[in-house]
Amino acid sequence: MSQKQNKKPLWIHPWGYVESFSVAFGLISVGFAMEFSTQGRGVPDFTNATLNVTAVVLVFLILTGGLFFRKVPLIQWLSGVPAAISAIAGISFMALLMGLTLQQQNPDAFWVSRLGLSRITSSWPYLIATFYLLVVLGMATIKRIYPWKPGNIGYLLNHLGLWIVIFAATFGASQIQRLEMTLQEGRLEYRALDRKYNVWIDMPFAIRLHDFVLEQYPPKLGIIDNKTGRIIHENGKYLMLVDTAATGTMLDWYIRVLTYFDQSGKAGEHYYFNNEPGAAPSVQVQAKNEKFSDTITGWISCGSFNRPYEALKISDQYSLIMLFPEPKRFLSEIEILTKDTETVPVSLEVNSPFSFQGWKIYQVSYDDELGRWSDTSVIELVRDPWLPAVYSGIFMMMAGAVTLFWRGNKTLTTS
Amino acid sequence: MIWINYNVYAALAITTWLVGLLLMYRGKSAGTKNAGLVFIVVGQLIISFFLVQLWLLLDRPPMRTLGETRLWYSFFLPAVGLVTYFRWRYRWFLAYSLILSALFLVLNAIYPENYSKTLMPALQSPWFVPHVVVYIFAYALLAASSIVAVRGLFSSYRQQDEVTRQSLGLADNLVYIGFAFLTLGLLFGALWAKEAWGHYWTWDPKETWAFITWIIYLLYLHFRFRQKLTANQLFWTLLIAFLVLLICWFGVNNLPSAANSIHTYTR
Ligand code: HEM
Repeated sequence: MSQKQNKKPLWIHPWGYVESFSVAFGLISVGFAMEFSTQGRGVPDFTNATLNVTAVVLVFLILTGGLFFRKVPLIQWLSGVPAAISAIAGISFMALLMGLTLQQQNPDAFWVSRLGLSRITSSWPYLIATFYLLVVLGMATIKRIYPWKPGNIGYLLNHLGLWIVIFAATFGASQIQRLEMTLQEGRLEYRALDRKYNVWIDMPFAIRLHDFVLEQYPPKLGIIDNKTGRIIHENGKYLMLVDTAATGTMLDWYIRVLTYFDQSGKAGEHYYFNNEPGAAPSVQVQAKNEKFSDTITGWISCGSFNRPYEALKISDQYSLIMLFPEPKRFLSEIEILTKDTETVPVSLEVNSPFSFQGWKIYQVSYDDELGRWSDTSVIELVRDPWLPAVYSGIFMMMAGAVTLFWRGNKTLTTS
Repeated sequence: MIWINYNVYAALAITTWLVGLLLMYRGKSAGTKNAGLVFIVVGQLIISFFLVQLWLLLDRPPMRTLGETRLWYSFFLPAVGLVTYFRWRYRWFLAYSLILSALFLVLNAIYPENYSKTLMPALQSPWFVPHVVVYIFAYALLAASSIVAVRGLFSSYRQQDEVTRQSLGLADNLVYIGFAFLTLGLLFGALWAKEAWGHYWTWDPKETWAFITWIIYLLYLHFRFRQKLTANQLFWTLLIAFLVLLICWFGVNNLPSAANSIHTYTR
């Protein structure tokens, strides 16, 4: 705020920063009061009808206010920078609260639960701050759309794009369905679990898992403290991938891999190649202590669901161990069967969901314990009717970002 | 094991930069000054060469760990410095960006990280590289803007009005461009999250802090539009914004709110 502000009495138009921030602060306080008086139960699940009516009313108010009543001081204030900054600050404040408190299901602290601080996105103050932002941003956008000037294209892309994203994300939130389906190899499944409400949903199609495939990286070797059982890795420094580094140094030890089986069984003191279910990786290593010129050779294995693990004690204090191999990629060979007996074969992998009849189908997880022998695959089915709206907003903002980039150049050359 | 020879590359780069700066600052003729510039460019090429080698060696984009992102930072900072120099001839700014970059190189030498090749499936995505590159570039630009802000505060303290005005212009520019990249990074992240985790925005702690960083710079952008803030107030805003950015970058993993973040990959 500038020092040379003329002494305008408060709450006389035009409103400035003091009034704007008071409004934002007041609105958020009201939100917290509502949260408190409803025992911190948060914003209820509104019905779709309520949401649709609210959305229409909001758009109607912004349009009529911004187009036909733009000379009214209240609207002028709502579409100006002080109101914008107070609205942005308001949402920043809510985001900061979210960034500083643990967002979780059942908090113990009285105030945290009573004020909804542990689930801010479904709290009243957050909802109200979002509405304030939508109104102000909407008014600001209209001001520059009509009357139209070509120079406003960047402004339009940024502001209208963001408005669409927030609007669609807010009103679409409750219509998003995220269902979890657990598939067993060979079995046909058509029921999925809605974790939010803990109900089972019958899907309009069924899914059969043919095969679950897990590819793994080679295992890593590490060093542990015998007393504490902790891995001493120093930010990954002493973790050695068997594949790339057949040799390495851990603390004072020089490690050399002599033999490596990615699948093995054990007979007597030795491991040999074997590919039965549960066959675990193993290595024969030589550890040479550089200080005491002491050399130890032996076998290490991480074991599996049906094999024991084996560590190699290299001194009273330390042992060498093998970590479970990390997954490299995993996928489910599935088949989707519709009611009109159509079958669609799909290879479902992390990061490449499959779209089907308005649903996006994701590979999520598998039976950890069985690992590569898992015959279970967990997938997720997601439906978000408002997604196209959100995406169109996102693409507008991307284009807007490009215009900002150009503007930056322009500002400098003129100043 | 993998970051072998890193120290050699880092030392070489830093040496060429020192020589280059010395020539630029102490050189009498235009020829010596240009030679200095050549040295600096060579230093930049050395870093680029190391990055390419590391990428090939790791068999995955080297953008996952703090050490690896630091490396990109020391790549982009001089790049921003050089581009700014070629366009607007800010020699001091080039020097600052080189020193900052050298600092990151040294940090990596002191805390070497020998990360192995494994990359979890959720990170194996075509979005990975654009998302991270765009973000690091944004961070480099915004870091630069905070350096300019410090410079501006100094000059206004010494009442060098012309320098203050210039600094504000440069800071503005860096923020506009940096913010454009920050926005792109955020949006790429959202599109990727939809592909990988089923939703474009889940308010995961890292996302929350990325949003806070974004919105603080958004505040700056709007303070600049026809508002009568003094240069000093604007410079301070930039410094605070950069502090938030640093929290987002380093601090998030240590905040209480991050207990169940999906974004903590370093174990
Ligand atoms: C993607 C996010 C945003 C970007 C990139 C952005 C960018 C800008 C820019 C560059 C200007 C200066 C316009 C010009 O020089 O022509 C501006 C003005 C403005 N912005 Fe934003 N903005 C964003 C979000 C917001 C939000 C969330 C609000 C309100 C809550 C807002 C309200 C305003 C207002 C009121 C103006 C002044 C318009 C005028 O008086 O003509 N903006 N914005």
